[in-house]
Amino acid sequence: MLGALRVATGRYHLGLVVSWNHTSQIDVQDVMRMRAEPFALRPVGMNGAIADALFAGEVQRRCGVDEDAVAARIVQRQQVAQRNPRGLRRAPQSAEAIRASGYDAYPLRRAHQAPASDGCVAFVLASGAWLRAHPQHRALARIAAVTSHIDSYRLDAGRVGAMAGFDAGLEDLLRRAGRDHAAIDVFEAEAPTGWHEAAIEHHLAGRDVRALSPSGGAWAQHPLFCMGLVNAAEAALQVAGRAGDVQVEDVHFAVAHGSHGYAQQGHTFVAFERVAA
Amino acid sequence: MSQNVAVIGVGQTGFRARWDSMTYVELAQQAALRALADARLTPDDIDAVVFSMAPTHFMGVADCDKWAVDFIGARGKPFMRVHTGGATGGSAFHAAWAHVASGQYRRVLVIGADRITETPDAQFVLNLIWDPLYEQDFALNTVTMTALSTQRYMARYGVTEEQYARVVVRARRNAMHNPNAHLKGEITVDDVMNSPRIAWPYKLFDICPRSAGAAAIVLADEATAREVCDRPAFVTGVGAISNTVFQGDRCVPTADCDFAEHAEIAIAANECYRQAGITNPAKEIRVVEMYDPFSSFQFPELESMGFCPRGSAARLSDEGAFDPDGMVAVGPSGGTLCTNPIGVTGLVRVADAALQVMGRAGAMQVSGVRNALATAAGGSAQFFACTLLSDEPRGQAALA
Repeated sequence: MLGALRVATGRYHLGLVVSWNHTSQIDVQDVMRMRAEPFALRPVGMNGAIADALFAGEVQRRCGVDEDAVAARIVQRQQVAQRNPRGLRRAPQSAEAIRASGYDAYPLRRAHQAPASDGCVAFVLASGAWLRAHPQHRALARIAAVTSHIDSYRLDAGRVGAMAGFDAGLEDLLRRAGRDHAAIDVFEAEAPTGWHEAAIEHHLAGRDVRALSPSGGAWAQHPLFCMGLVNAAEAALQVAGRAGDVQVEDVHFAVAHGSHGYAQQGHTFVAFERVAA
Repeated sequence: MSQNVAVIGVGQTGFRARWDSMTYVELAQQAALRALADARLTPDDIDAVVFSMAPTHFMGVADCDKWAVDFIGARGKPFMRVHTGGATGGSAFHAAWAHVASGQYRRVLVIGADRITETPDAQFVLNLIWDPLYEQDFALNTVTMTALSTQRYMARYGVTEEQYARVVVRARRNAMHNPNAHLKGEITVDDVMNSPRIAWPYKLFDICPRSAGAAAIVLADEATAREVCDRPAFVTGVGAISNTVFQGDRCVPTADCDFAEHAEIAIAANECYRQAGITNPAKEIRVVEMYDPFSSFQFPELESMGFCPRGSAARLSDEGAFDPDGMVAVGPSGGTLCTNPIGVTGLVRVADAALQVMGRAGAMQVSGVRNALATAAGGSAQFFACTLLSDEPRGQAALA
């Protein structure tokens, strides 16, 4: 988002946005536990998995999703991810294996969570002025809008699972893109668990979304803190028609989503439009 | 085309070794409320928030910006954290500037807090900025790292320890006029020279304190600024530069920028001057609020930024050229030598520079300030950010 805003100032014409994660070097939950403030959350042992489980419990209650539905969703997403040429193509798990995996924190089972991976992603951004001055270079996609939205740090039932930040951020994005009621051809969501994807699909229900995470999302690759930029890359490739075996037909408008914080406290969105040939 | 951007409100807490009476988030809240009150705005008037926070290991809560969201009025708004080590405050301000200059937002709050003394020894944390394969295994931290570059500069230009000590004396004296400064007081060159040796040529008094505190700034587009603020400080130049983390690569004949001279900052400063139409910084810029955590930073950086020829800054310093009533007032607030909440320091520099332009610096006020420069430096002295503030739009900004 900052890269796009910098170019939009007119002061910068070429930008490089890079994100990498070497998740294999750490115990992710140790890192996530350090995010807990020291007065209430840290003494109870809060970490990322427990926060995600609180989220999952609220998704169960609010969206009527059960564990069987989550397992079926993960199986489907794993199958999609197998086709992503940029994905890791991990061996998919069966619904039975997912249902049989142990709880990390109820109702979140180990296999409900996309395994973390190492990885890196980079973008080159260019201003319209630069592209006009360099006609030998062609844009893959036009950034139609960027925005972000953050919710409360609290993990109470009123916040967790409500996805208020997701709804408000997406609405702001579409308004800025001038597409309040238009179809979204592709929505690449940051959904680190099957529960998150179910929640996002629930909150996209009122919108005309043709394809949700056709890349396979976190099940294709999951370098934790790069996922927002990975999703942006996948969305840009979709509007460019260069997504390979996961290409959705005739994509004109794609949205990439990233999230951060306990139980998706913050949401960031980028909208891409197809560039006329 | 950029939209003109101005600072319309500034808020700071006091800075000290410990803040036992307030939590991290309460410190951030106090600075935010003071900045909003200064700008005559409420939290609801703010369109987006940028958070300035360097390594969170210092205060023991990782990514503590997220904890602060509810306390600084950020809930329900676009929110972004920026981290470029010691340069964080400068970079965060630049990010906030981009939010407004792009035309996407009109009023943005940039805020940060730090509590460095929550960790037993910040230098162990700072050792982690080096790569794990080569330089991290040396006894490197920010003190030993900059001591090496200082030795190189001293050998090249014949600067003495006493000349650095005079910088400390001036900073502590200036800080006496700053109600928020951490260290302040009348000290002598002998006091500096007799303070405990840390890493040659540094003694304890050559080195900044580890500070706790918070700062916030409200930025706005020109129309809002002129409506709510009698004398806004316009952002007329933003420049930043990055270099390799490897120090050895900056000490060889093929290096682009020499490690001893902090020559990278020349690129960032010159970009500011280009944007603002500044052709003679020593004559046109009255105040420089520098990121100078060590007494040795001022000389090479003032030279790199074009205030004086290479190798002349120490002599000019001795002659009083950098005193508040000198050729250019360097650090009238006492600067980073007296106050260093690392993740916020660059923001404090911008805040103090803005107050000078706005004519609201109180006892620190330097007369006739139309342009003030703020700097920030981070990483292994590899990230530099410069910000120029002016009483009116200038150069490119004047045409926007």
